[in-house]
Amino acid sequence: MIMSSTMSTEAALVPNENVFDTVSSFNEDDANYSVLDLYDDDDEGDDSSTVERKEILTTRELEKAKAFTSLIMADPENFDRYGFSKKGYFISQEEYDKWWTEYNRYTERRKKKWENFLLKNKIELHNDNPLVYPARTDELSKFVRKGIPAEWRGNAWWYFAGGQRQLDANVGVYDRLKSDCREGAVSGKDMEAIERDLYRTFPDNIHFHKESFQNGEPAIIRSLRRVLMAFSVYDKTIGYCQSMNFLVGLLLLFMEEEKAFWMLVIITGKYLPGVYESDLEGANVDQGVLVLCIKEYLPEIWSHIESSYMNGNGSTDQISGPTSGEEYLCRLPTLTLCTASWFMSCFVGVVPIETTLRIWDCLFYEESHFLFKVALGILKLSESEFLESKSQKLFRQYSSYTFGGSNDSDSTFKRLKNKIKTQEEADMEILQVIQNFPKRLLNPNDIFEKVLMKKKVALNGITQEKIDRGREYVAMARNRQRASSRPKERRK
Amino acid sequence: MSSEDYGYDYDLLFKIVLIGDSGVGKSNLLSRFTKNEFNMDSKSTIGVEFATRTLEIDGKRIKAQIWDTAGQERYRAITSAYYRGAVGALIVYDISKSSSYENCNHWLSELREKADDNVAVGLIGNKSDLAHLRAVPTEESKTFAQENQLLFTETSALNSENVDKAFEELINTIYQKVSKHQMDLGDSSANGNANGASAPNGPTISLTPTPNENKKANGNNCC
Repeated sequence: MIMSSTMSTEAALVPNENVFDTVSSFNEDDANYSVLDLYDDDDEGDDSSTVERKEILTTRELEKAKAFTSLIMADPENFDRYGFSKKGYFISQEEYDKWWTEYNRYTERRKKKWENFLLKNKIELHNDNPLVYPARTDELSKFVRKGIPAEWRGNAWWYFAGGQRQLDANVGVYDRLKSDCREGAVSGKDMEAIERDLYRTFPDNIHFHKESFQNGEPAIIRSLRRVLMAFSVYDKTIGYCQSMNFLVGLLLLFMEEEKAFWMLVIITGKYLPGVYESDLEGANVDQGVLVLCIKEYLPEIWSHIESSYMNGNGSTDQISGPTSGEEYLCRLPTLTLCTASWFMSCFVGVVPIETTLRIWDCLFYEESHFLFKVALGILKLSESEFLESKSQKLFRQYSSYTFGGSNDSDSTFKRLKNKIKTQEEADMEILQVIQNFPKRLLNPNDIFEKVLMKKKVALNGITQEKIDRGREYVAMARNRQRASSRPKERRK
Repeated sequence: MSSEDYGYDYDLLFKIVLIGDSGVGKSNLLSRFTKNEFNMDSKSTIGVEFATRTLEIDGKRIKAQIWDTAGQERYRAITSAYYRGAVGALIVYDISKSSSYENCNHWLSELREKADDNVAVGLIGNKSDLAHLRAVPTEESKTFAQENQLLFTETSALNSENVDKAFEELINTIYQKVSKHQMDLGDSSANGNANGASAPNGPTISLTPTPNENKKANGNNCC
């Protein structure tokens, strides 16, 4: 566990000696490991095959060393308090520092208010960290939405998600799973996929980085491996699904391993049911629900999606049978290629880290409907950007011509037709906006204050009950459509 | 920044998809080609990401939009829209990992099933800098590529070797296909609609399915 409860807000976590002082025999590039090696924390050996391989991999190792050096530059100022590099492809360090000066004051202010709020509710702090929270009220919800103090997060998430209940009902289970793993319970396929993703989780975070001159693995990488492997054995219908590495990776920055494991169980079972299973049907269902929400709350974006189904991208009469009006629930629109991963990773890596953490505060307090709200909020914010995109403008003009009954001899129409891009191109450009826009959401309050916490915003109509009903509805619609399209599939 | 480029300074837009097993280097091929960047430990890709680069062929500016997605098998279930409108594809494997090569067959059939019939396809053996660990002989892949009429290149996203070449060859092939298609249809006008469809069309993406192909594709793609 990296973030200790005694840590003050400003105390940078970097570099944390505990993270780098461990040694294990496992080499990430060595395919000839045994499961036992993976779990043997005390093994300090460096076997000959590793040495051999090291020589072979010189270029890659050098590259890695170079990357690491440039990452560290012996300056903890380059990293935020969780160990993430401040600088990113979309955000410069200057931008980050400028924003952080302001935002840090906000977090300190919020913490004071939390302390008063807890005092008022007669809740004591233990090592500057509350172990319980007041009963759920609108006031508490408002506090959570404005952000939980960073050093309280681990306990708070655990508390709000009901982690302790899970753990109490399953005492000893995690230890047993770990020992099952040691005895080879993890499938070869899952193990390979997990191993491949360990260092591909947070390469931009100092705690997840393997120093090129060390043989040992960072402690957090070993925890990540154990949690993911244990989970693959615990829930065989899921096994390992890429994106769970991001969830556990982030959890491990805030809580110990066993707790991270049970939080993963809660996320995959309660918040995002079916999303990580081998057919990812739950992910498709959630995207269908998102599209329904877009239809209801974001008419501009909806009209674009709808027109893409009218312009040959979809075929309204071919596959859908009696429920033709809902083809988009089955053949999901192109933008869901982007948004599906927002849900699967619970926005980790989608938006900058402080924004992610604010979303997680609410996810564990309000459950999964909050993810839908955030997705719609992001789309809403990026809407103006993509509606201004030239092709979209032209496309809309063009659409009004076609649907208005204009014909080819119309010269204006012809001129437009030569200029505009196809629907697919318009789709691509919109996708580009949707892909890049969230990565610049450095300041959580740009979405929280401007969209999510507004009192009179239509998105407030989205409740957990509504999302749950939506999920049921979409799942049924998709089943129906699949059943009716099956004979046609066979035809080919 | 090319990925921020929403402009119209191009004559043709080609959508190209990258496919192949997890960990073969798809994301690094993408970043090497579009940003000339390489990350030793890049993040695992989930969902779909893309970036663009504009090239010039025959005095025409061609904007290549390269799509990258998760390699894990189960992600096929949420990426059926991935292939929509693609005119080119690169199937990537890791020359030091034979299973990733063996799976190319599987990726090829996935492509044949879900993408347009005319899609131009290249096979890429990536990580050629790992010569000492080579598990897939060049000749074998070459034969496989010939048998299946695929372009073939061995690349290293790490040291840049052949990366541009691989993409450029594919883009050239697409361009030839598009030009030929236009001539076959007897449509020589610059703004011609290469696939002969009546769908709204600019001077750009060709090889998009005709209405008939569309129906077929839709039937297959459903869910």
